[in-house]
This record gives sequence, C-alpha cells and structure tokens, in this order.
Amino acid sequence: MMAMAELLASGQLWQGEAAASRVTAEERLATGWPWLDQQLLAGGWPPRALIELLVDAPGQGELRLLSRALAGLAEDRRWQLWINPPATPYPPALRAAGVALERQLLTLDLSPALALWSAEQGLASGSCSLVLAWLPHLELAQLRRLQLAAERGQCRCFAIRPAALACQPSPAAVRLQLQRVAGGLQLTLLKRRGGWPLPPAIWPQVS
Amino acid sequence: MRWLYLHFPALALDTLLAGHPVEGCWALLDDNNQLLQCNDTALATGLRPGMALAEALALCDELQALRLQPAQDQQALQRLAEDCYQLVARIHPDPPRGLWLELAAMARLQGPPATLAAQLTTQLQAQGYRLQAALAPQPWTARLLARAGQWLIDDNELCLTQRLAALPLTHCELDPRQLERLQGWGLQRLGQLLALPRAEVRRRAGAPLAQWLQRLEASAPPSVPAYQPSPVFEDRLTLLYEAEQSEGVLFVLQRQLQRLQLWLRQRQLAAGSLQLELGHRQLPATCLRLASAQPDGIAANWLMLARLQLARQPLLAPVCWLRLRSQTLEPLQAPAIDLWQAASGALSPDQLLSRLQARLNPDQLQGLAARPDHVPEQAGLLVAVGERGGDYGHSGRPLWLLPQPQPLAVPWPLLDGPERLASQWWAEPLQRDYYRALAPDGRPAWLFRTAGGHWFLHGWFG
Repeated sequence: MMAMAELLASGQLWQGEAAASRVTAEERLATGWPWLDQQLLAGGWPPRALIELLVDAPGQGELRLLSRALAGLAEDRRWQLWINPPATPYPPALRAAGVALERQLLTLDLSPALALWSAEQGLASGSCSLVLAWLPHLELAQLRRLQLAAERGQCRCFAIRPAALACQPSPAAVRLQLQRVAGGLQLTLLKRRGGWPLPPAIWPQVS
Repeated sequence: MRWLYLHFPALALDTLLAGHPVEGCWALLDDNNQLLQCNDTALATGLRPGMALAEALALCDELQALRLQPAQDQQALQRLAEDCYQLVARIHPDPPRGLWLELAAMARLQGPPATLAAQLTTQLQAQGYRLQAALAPQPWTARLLARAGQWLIDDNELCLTQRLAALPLTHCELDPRQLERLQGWGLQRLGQLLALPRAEVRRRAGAPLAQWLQRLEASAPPSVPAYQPSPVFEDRLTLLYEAEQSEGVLFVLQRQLQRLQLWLRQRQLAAGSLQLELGHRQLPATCLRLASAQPDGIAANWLMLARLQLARQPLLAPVCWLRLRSQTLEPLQAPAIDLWQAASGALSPDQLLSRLQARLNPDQLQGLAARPDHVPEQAGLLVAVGERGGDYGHSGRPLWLLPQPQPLAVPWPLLDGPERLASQWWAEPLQRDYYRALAPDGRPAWLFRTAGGHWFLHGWFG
C-alpha cells in the first residue's frame, strides 16, 4: 500500500479517470450539457488548462457553449479576456445568458504576435478567470506556452481554431470539434484528459 | 543654530555622470569653450577649470567635452535640496552650486549636528558628488570656509576659530581692490583683520568691508528664500550619450522612477499617471503619458509600463534628455486583494489592465455595456474599460452582431418571427421585421426585412 501511494505521489503511475475527476467543488465549471460534463471527467471544463474548440466558421455554436462558461464564472471578480473575436459579441444577449458584462475585457484587431502576447499576459497574470482566444496561426510550441501560462495563472484558456487543424497534434487538455448538423450541434471529443476520444454526439437543445 | 554649508564645485558634471560607469576625462564647457567643471580623472591629468578647450585637448586628446546647458546647475541643485530634505527641514539653496542646511533644529530627530553632517556628506559622496563642507554657528562663516576648501564638520568652536583666523585673505573671495588695500596694510590672514577694531576698519576701508565682516559674524539665517518642497514630482535628466534604443532611455528612466518611488513614499501618495518627455536634438520633444489603472507607487511597475509603451512607439530620433512629471497623485491605499485568490496572481486585475493599456492602442481594448434601446445597434455597445452601462439583457438576441447588416438577395429558410423593431418617433425612422433563420450551412442567423422588402443578415446565434 505504501509503495502504491509513493508511486502515485511521484506521478509514475497513470490513474486515468480518477486523476482527471479530482477537482474541487469551487473549481468545477459546468459546460451546460450534463452528458458533456460527464465525458470530460472533471465535472465540466478542466481547470488550469488549455481547451481547444475547432470550428469551421464563426457562429457554429461555440459562443453559445462559451457563454455558459462565462456565466458560470460571473461571481469571480477577475477579468474574462477576449482575444481577437471575429465579430462583436452582443452585450444584451450575453447579459441574458448570465454573463457579467463589467468583467469582460475585449482586445480587437491585434496582430498575431500581439494577440499571443496579450493572451499569455492574461493567462499568466492570475487576474483572469477565463481567456477566450481566436488564434488561428499557432505553432506547437506556442500552444504549449499557453498551456503552461494557464497552469501558472490558474486560468482556463479556450483557443478557438479552424476545424482544418483537427488532425494536427496539440498539447491542449481537451480538443472539441463543433459542427452544425440538422438535429443540433454535433460535438466530437478529439482529446480529453484521462479518457479515450469519443465518437460524435449531438446536443439537440442548442437551437 | 548650526549651519552646514555644502559647496559642489562640479555639480552639473557630477549629476550627469552619477550612476554611469565612467572612464576617461570628462569636462563641461561654457559658451566661450572654456572648461567649467572637470571630473577627477581630468583633474589628475592636469586639466583645470578656466582652461581653454584647445589647451585642454593638447593635454588630453581623449577629453569628452559637453556644453553646460543653461539652468543645468540649478536643476541639479534643486534635486540635491530634495534629497537632503529627507533629513533636514530647513534648507536654503545658494545658487549656483551651494546649499545651507540648518542642523541644530534636527538634533532630537537625527542626532547632534556633527553626526548628521557626517552622515549627509558620506551619503552624497557615495552618490558620486564631490563636495566641500563646513559647519559653523554663522551661515556666512560656514560658506566662507566651505568655499575655501576647509573641510570642517566636527562642530568644534575652538577649531573653528583657529581655522578662521588662519584663513589667508586671498581665499576670502574679497573684491580685488580691497584685498590689495588690506595686503598694503600688511594683513595676510583673516584673523588679523578680525582683530582690528571694527570702527577703524569702517573708517579706513569703507562701509562694504565692514558690512562683509558684520555678515560673517552674524548668526541670522541667510536672506535667500528657503527650499519649499514641490507639490508635484518633476525630474529632468540629461543623458550622457544620446539614446537610440529604448533600452538606453529605460536605463535612465529607472533612476528617475527610483526617485519617484521615494518621493511618493515620503508623502504617502501613489501616482495615477505620469508624463514622460523625451527630448531630441532637433525634433520637438516626444510626450508620452504613462497611466496605471490603479494608482501605483512602485518603480518596477512603472518601469514595466514604460517598457511596454516604448515597445509600441519606436523612438523618432535619438533621445538627449528625459523629463518625468507626476500628473495625477492620490493618497496611498492598501490594495484590496481577495484573500483566497491572491495566492494565484502575480498581478492584480488593475495591474493587468494597466499592462494591456500600455501595450495596446486605446481602440484595441474595450469593455462591453448594454442599455435598453429598441435599435439593436444601440442596445449593445463597446465602451472604454471600466465604464458601466445599463443592466439590460434580452434572450431573443443573437450572440454575435455584425458591425454592418449585410444585404441578402434571397432570404434563408425562416424559423421564427417576425419581431418588429422600430426607432423612437424623434429619431431617424427605422422599421425592421426580424426573423430567426437557418443559413445554408446550418448556422442559426438573425435576418431582417426592411419596410421596402429588402433582406439583411444582422447576426449569428451561435
């Protein structure tokens, strides 16, 4: 028993689902869809992590998904930083979804280098609860930097990237592909912490 | 009263060189190309103030000569008075290069005058200033001894009298005609002059000399106005070398910010914004405004903001001098940090905001606000960060709004609607029927039809 505890503490033994689901109640952030919460094993979006959302075009339903995360952190007094959103988010709709408007910080029309800098500053500062970054051109090392910055600043980073990058490797903790289909929003978990990739599932409630 | 007089023979040059690892000969010139101030290496080489530049170059061909800017000594003296004000309350600047400090009044706080004088002079010497000092109960006696180069700061009455009596009259900065007359009487030392009956001196040498003697022995404070601390921080520094890169500017700025930090701490203040002027040789000065979302008194934080701002704006031309001014000052307050979340953060939310504001253009950083209005474009706004809008939410609205409605030739399959929105009667007439529709690729969209029957795409629900 003693040896087992030591192995676990030193990180040499992979725990799979158990490790991923070890999240405190304060850290839990629901996605808004119980099925997805269950599949992500952390009861929702994993804390201190880079989460990749892969979408074909803006407006697939990614902001609907993200607005639940933003609303879930409305009590947090830290910033929610948007990096280079492709269009203007509409405040009355966000407010109706429960988002705290006074906590939102938007950066617009940044060059790729400046966007990456702003994202990293926000993540590592520890004064953001969430960073939403539309960063299409990122190299593997840059993604890794974002992941490390998210861990350092105890922040979740959502990177919204083109679906064409689905087959590229990525250090993100979760990779989720979104696709609009006839019955609703189709989610494909390409990667998750502590589990296998999952076949596509359709979230019917999303209009 | 105990007056400490500090005389700085090379004030402007010492201020210029302070903090730099300087090698070689340096000198300041006046407009006639005569040497005014030299550093120690230059003095050791044989250069003297008053020498012509050509002669100096013949002695030392590696001499680095700079022209003395008007008021450079004055500004340096002001800086020194500000520094000394930390320890001494009563300071009378004696332009161009001297300071009177009254030490007896500070005895209860800072110890006996001799100790305080030793502390002050050591501190100034450590900062790279060369100085001559004398301590005496009479301000003008102290001045005379200091300027004559008599180092006397041990507050000893007997020693003072002896030194004063032994001072050669040639060192007393007397009018040449009077000096000649006194030497004609056979007087060589000041003691001999002081021993003469005062009425006799007045009768034979005239009123000016008698008045000079009277002033020398009077213990009344000097008639020049005392130093008053300024209500705003201002510091101007000339750069030793013109800075072409922002790193060179930041190096000097760091020294100024250290002074600012001390200045703010003494007054229990924090600065909300600073003005930084970068002087160029030919172009007009560049003026930068450094602002912090939360008033800040820490030099390192300000340096970070200045670094970001300079990264955004490259220098137009090499920089010759810097002027730092405080713009808004606020009482120092302990920052309100969340006890449970403080551990995670290296920066407070306001510090992050300041950092982003320093690096990004003002229109690149925005906040969100909503207000009740029928016209969708006016209900949701991008506002300056920190500005609060009304609290207005509407669940039937799309999450993305296009900046401009896009015309559509044929409407997409409609799901829901119409919702008629019209502007108020006093505003520009506007009437739209809004529908929820499905784009060809399956994304839910927000369309409207105008009164004229034209279709437009206005937003996405996703």
